[in-house]
Amino acid sequence: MVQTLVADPARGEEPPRPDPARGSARLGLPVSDRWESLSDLAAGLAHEVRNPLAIIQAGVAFLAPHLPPADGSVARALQDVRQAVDRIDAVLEGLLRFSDGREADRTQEEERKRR
Amino acid sequence: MSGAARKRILIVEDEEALARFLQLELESQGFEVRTAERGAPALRDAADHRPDLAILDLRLPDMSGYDVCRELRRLCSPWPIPIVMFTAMGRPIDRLRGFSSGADVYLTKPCDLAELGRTVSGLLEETLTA
Repeated sequence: MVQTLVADPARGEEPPRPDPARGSARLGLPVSDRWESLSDLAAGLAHEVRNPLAIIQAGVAFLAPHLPPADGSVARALQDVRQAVDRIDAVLEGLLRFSDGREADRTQEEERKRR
Repeated sequence: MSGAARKRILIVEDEEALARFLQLELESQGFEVRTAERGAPALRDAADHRPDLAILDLRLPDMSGYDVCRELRRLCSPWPIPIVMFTAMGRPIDRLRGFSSGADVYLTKPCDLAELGRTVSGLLEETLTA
């Protein structure tokens, strides 16, 4: 399910806009509960992925001064790793914003209905 | 960084590899670093060794980083102790809770460790001049 909601900002992709009614009907959940679940899922996923990302980034930073400059290929490889980390993090950030934004929209909509 | 050489930093982080990299980075900058993987041992360590600054993860195996933050504030009162939350939880609500529980700085993983080191140095300098 996550794959269908995640876009890669580095590629200029926008997250698709899912149909909440269709999803909630399939899961048998109210729309509000579904968005809350999605927000929690996104936060949990981001947490689980960002910790290893932080280790990779820290490891690259630690290794960089110890590697020979050679012909520049080592520096290029490290830069590739850093950029890959940034790309994954950007995807996670997009997922979080998407789910939190929908959650905020839902809350505002419910408040309007109550008035 | 001779002025910071004696400063003690407590890292509370359950990712062992990340804690090790943090420790290496901060020790290379002249800080004395202690680490804990859980909240309760971290609080005992803080009571015994009185850190000058703490770096806290939020999701710990035994207790919430928010609770560790509040308890650190209480333990170290009335002396100010800068607290840096270093966490993978990056939602606005997480930040709000972090600052509400007493954090001075909220950094989201992954983060450049050199930036973290600069943040630590800056906070300690502010504490010295306060």
